[in-house]
Amino acid sequence: LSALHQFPSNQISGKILNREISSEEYVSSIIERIKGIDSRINSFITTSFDKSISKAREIDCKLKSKEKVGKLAGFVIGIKDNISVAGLKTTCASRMLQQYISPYDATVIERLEKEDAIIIGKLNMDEFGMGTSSEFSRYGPVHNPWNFDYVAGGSSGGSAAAVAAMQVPVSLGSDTGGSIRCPSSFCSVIGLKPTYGTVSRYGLVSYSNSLEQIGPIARTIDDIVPLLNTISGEDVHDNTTVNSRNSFRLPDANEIPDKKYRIGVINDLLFTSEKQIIETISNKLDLLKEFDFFVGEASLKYYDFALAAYYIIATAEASSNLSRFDNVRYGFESNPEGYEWNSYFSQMRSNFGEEVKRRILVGSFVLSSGYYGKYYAKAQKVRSIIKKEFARLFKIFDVLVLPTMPILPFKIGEKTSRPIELYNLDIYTILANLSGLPAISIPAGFSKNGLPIGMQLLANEFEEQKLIDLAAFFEKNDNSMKVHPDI
Amino acid sequence: MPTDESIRKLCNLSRLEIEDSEFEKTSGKIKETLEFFGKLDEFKMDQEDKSESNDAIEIPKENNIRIEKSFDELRDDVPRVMSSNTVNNPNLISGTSTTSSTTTTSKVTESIQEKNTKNSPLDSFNEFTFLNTKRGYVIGPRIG
Repeated sequence: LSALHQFPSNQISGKILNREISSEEYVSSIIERIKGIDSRINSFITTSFDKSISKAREIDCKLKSKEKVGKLAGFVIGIKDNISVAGLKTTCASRMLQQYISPYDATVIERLEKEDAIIIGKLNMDEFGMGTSSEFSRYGPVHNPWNFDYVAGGSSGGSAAAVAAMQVPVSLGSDTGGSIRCPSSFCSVIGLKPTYGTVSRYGLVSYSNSLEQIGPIARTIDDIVPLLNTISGEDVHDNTTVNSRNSFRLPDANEIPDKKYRIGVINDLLFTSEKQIIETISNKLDLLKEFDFFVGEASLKYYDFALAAYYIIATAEASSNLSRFDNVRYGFESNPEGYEWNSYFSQMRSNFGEEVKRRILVGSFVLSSGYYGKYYAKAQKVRSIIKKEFARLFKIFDVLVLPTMPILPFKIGEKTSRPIELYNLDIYTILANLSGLPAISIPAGFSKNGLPIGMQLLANEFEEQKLIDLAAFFEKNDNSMKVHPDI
Repeated sequence: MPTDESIRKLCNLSRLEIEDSEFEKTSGKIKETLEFFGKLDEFKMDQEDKSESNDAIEIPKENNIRIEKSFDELRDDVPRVMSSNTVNNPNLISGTSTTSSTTTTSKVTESIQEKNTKNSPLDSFNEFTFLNTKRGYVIGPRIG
């Protein structure tokens, strides 16, 4: 590592605390990096450079006068543009919110800033988090740092691409059906979706309340842990948060094999992936066997209904959540003179992108009285069965292994006109959202033409520590986590 | 499967305007998505293994789903008496309230309370301890 922007946050933090470098010096190097390459990646929607420099100077002053600084001093963080940061635009990559400036901080932002983390800007995404490729953005598609012609994955594409391209060391994304894990896999970084209820959703622009969680993305597991510890915990603003505050720790990688985790592989799902992905995951399983982990076959019933159930629930919740965007409370300046109210309302809401409109319409349809039993009630039943299926599997196994995505990253524009094909790509990731379980995507290797492959690990609810342990194990014993794109 | 006419109606209800030139494409994709959802037709509501269903969320079977209620049938959604070990909030309506106010509101709440008491005996209600309370109010479901 030669330039400052290449270092992971935990190392930079140490250097800043020891006063080897100043916080301002580090933030300046990050700003230079973002300015230098973002025209090729398109990961940022809004930047907050001046405010970041001021905050960095504040930290330097504190250190100079030997005042106490927060645990995240030296962490520069990019935030997905559906998480509210006071004073910054929160556009959700939508035309509907292109002028909206958030008047308050999300709980996760409050917690980060309390620990002296620096928010450097807001990151590109699929509009309102609806997508698997970060192509459905008002601000244009995010480009994969490993090959600019390819998608970065979605919906937190900007969050993962910015980390992979070393524009920021860490970022926050949100995961409704794989939105953290999919881009993490496509960009070869680590992305964690915590158990539902671990992290407060207050200040997150809701797409599907019962499925989504905010989570960290980073290049090393050492950076994931302090971030997760900071953002997790009960919040009076979010009734679904849990009251026990888990503290996760970085394990000693040498001790992990002694924990004798039992690993389950869902073969039925694994073998529906592309051949190169199957081979890569199989190699990782071999590595686990070499270290005497128990690796066995796990079978998950009813998974073939999961995708339809997920999209029914997600679109139903989206149709309700997005009804608030009427261009009166939120929206952009537009003269209502001469319009009848309903017509004005409908016309303004037409500023949603095509994919968002379609999901609202489908969601309204599946909730309509004549079809409620056919779609929504069945989807909830499937959800409950899948959750029980996982409970059964976690009586046998500690961690389940799957590829994160069934295919390699694809070219920008290749699949935008085929929504069902895109929906089908979520089959491995939606399982954790339907059942509320924690899941992590870690880099597993590369295809023959140099595109990243990710491996997904799932654990029982509130057992993120097992995921962290195994990620640390792979980080130590597998070189694919130490490779970065050359930009 | 919805017809083009019903999709137009859906647009109207969802307050979304779709250009005529775009309508055919959008409508085609919506139909395709609903066809994809049709996978659930193969799923039977009683498909689950009964032996493992004790802790499942009970969802009524398709034929029994009743989603419309007349206004009179709606529950009076007024906070009721809670046991002393869980709630000590004087602002909550209480069966033992000594509030001297004789306003119309209190009469209304009394009558509602009476109705609630008839519908669900307070005794059994008092026995129930809410695990998830904050400042005296019960706050939604909790995992774990």
